[in-house]
Amino acid sequence: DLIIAQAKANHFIVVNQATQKNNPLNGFIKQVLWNYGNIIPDYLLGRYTCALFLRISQHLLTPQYIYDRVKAIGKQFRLRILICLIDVEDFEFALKEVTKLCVFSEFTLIVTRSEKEAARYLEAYFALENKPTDVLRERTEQDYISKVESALTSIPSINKTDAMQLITNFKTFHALVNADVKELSKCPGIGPTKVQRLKEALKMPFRNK
Amino acid sequence: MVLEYERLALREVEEQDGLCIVGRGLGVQRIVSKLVKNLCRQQKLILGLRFSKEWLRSLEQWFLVSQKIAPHCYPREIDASYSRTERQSVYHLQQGFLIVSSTILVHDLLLHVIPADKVSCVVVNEAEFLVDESRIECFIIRLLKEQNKNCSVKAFSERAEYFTRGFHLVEKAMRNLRVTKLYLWPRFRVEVDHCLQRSSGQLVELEVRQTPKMASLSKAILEAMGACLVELKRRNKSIDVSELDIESALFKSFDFVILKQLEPMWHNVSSHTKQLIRDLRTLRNILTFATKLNCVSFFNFLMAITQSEDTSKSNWLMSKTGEKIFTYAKSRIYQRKSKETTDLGRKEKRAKSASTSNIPLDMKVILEPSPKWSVLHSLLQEIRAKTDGAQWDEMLSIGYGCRVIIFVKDVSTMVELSEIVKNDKAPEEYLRKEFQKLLKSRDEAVARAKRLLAKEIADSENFDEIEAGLDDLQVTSTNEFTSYCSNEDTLGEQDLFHNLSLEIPDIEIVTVEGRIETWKALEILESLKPRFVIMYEPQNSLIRQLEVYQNEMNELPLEVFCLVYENSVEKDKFEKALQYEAHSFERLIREKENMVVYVEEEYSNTEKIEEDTTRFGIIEEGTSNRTSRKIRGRIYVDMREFRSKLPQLLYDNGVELIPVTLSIGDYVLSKSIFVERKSLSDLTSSLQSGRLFSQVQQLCRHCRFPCLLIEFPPGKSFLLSSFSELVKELNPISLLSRLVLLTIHFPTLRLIWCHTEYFCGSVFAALKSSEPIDELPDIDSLSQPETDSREYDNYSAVDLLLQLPGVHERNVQSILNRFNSIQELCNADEAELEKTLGSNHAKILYEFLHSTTPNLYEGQFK
Repeated sequence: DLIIAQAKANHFIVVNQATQKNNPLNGFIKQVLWNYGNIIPDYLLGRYTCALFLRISQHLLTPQYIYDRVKAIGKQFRLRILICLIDVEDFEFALKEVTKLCVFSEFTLIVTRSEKEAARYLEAYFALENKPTDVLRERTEQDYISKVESALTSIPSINKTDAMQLITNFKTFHALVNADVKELSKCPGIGPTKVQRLKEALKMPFRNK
Repeated sequence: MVLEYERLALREVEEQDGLCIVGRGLGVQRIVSKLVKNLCRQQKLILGLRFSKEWLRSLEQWFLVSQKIAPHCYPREIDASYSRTERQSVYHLQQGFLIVSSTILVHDLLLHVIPADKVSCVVVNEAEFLVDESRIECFIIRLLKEQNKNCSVKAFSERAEYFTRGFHLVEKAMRNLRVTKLYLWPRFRVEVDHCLQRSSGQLVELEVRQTPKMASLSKAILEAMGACLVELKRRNKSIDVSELDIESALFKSFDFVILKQLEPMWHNVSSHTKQLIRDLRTLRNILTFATKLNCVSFFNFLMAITQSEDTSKSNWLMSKTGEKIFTYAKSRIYQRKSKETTDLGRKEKRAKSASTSNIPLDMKVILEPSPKWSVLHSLLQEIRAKTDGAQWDEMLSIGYGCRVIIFVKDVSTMVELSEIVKNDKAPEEYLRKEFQKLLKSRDEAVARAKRLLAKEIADSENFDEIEAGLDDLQVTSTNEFTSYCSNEDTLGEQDLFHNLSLEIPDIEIVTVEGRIETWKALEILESLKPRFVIMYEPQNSLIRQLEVYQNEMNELPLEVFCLVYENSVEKDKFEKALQYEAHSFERLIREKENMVVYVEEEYSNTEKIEEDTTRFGIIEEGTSNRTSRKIRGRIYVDMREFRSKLPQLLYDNGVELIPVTLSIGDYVLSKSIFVERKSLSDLTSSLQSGRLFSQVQQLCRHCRFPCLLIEFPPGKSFLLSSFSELVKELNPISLLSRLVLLTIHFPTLRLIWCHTEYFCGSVFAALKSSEPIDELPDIDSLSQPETDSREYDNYSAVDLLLQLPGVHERNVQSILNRFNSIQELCNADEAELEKTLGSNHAKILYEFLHSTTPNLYEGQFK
């Protein structure tokens, strides 16, 4: 089939003509091209990736549906995604079932609450299929303030404002680390609990012995 | 000495287990201490929950004084420094008062290291936290009660208002505590009132007038808060506005009320509303500090706020009222001179600049002192006059210990006042010093101001002179700064809760900061025995403690002065807090009348268990007959995980927990299912730092179904991207894209999405139960090698370390081996860092540690 071949060459997303014809989700796929085609999964996102789409409301009405769909795909693709859209408030039981299904039938579960975001997931899977993993391994560059912030806020009970108060009062991280209890508590908003936490994180040894 | 009502309260709680709620400042600690002492005398094993270190120390002191108790029964704190065998030997003494850190206690209870049947009593401090059944303390009590039905529970709290923030919270707490009795001791109870009324001292409330600028500053802040509230109501029609007025917005409980209301629809709450709530919180802080801080520190504080706020989002920062706040704050420090006066003033300045230190030229520095300072001064003088030489000797002979104690709320005020009370001139000098410190510390700001100034007036005249004047400023301020520092040093590293004694004899400035340690005031009073007490800020728990003290020391009458700003938010807040507490107690009394009392037996039968399962909204086949905790399988749980609620909920679901230290994953459900748990914020940071990548790599190597559990905070259910993000193009480094990339790279990685821990617990149970054979892998293959086993108990330090630039998963081990603490690491020189980190990373880290904060003050001295 030409369409599938093209899709596998990463030209566009193929949307299952039979099952997803009237899905409003399709309208939200804007960043990449898509086309209808006759495929087994709901969406074909590249050579190795396919996706199923499930609304929780639909699942509550026809619980058997998704089991059949999952079975139909079997182990055909390397990456199988199940996008689960939560559109009812009472979703816990259904979501638990779907989670269980996904774990044991080796589907990657994506849960979202908006169609827009669901479409974004499809786009992302399509666009990122052949991307290297550098982004995941490397620490991206941040500016000084956010570095300080992320370091200090890793201490329990220290929030962003506290982090800023601390670093503006002590100027350097080095000075902050060496500040004594009294100097620390002179910062507005830093009460004894926070001082204690800071002391624990900055001065106490990593290990007890 | 024990007061009458204390004795009554103690007897009640000793007779029958119960929850005892005492009015704030009425001495719940004294009752608890007494109780613990009595229990210790019976030589039994007693456990303490939620006792602070400070508490423990003063309890020890107390035990030392009374010699009736054998030393091995003294309170003892058991933390991670005890090994398992050491703990075992302590437990097997089977007596004494032990305060075991919660995670260790859970571990020991689960593995039956502690002989639960020998524990005769649990004393719970700060019982208000146990209204939340997912607290680890509730888990502890539950485990204890399951293993030893006869263990008695005595719980105490002095925060009545915590129990009235929702429906039936007291009942909930009592159920969690497994107690049936509720004892209430508000200040207005007859026994208490009768007892405390006999006191002989007097309290004088001094109303201090705010300066016009301060008043308008507070007004502006209130205005901004009002605007936020109106906006909040306008945007969220569904919330009940009756509770949300500006008065309630002054209290922290406001956040609680509003979050409670918005919680069910949090995923639909717009980011604008969330920002409004955040703004209200910030403004509330600013409001408190507006009266508390002096003008310079307040300005400094404001500047830091602007830095941490996102200016584009914040609603008040860029508004007119926001501008007003800044103008008033600035106007308390300096005024820009008008053109004519500048010319005039410059000549004067030139003459002056030789003698006094200098300030940028076109501003007139005002430095408005806090009005309370002068009042404090005259008060002190009055006191000094009253207690002149001979009179004082007489007083000393009666038993007074010191003339005055000044109680303040926090350490920064304490340090400030210690400067202020020195002499009449001190306030101005102090402010000037602070201001210069502010100027000095902003070298760049000065430099920038210099450049700007120079540019501004370069065309007019004497450019050189200004240049010179500014240089002068820098020099003087440097000197000032160093002298200030050395001054600081002489004060030395003092314990937070200690007082500052001054050169002026017999004035003590004392802080009783913090929420737990407020009871220290009584101890301080008892040891210092003052003639006068000045409350620099009104504090209700302190007033009560003064009452208690006066009752104890009837022969030493006390005069109390309380400084409070007239018509101020400070006063409002103080009065409201008193009212609030009284209301809470009234409500509790009413609730107590119609309370359904749970009888002991009910806990162990099916009803309770059924209710447990329905709480998850899910009833599974076969769960309801968990009469004797039918064990559905075993799970390895990483020790660190006991900080979260999940393990307890798993236990609820009938799973046997085995606490271990895991190197791979956080939970091991079976041979083939390993789970790594990440909260949303954790997920974001660990995807960024690359930590998750290596964790998942490990996970995927070791089992068939590696799972990544994504735990959403109740607010953000299942949305990874914000609305604005979805409109834009796909961003390859957004959280969503990173997660997608991760799953592309690890197609075997299974995702589990959880919006609550309850859900999480039931999913685990479901996964576990569908495994055909309940088999756990060999524990030795999973736990970490001996060298870096559970010895890293300072998690927050290790977590922080991993956040530092230049530190990675790969070099963290060598850092941990080489350096003892974060401080040690930070004080190492570059060469030393290079040895452990390699030159590249060492350079990054070193630069990070020593670079100065970008200037916040840019533009402020234009």
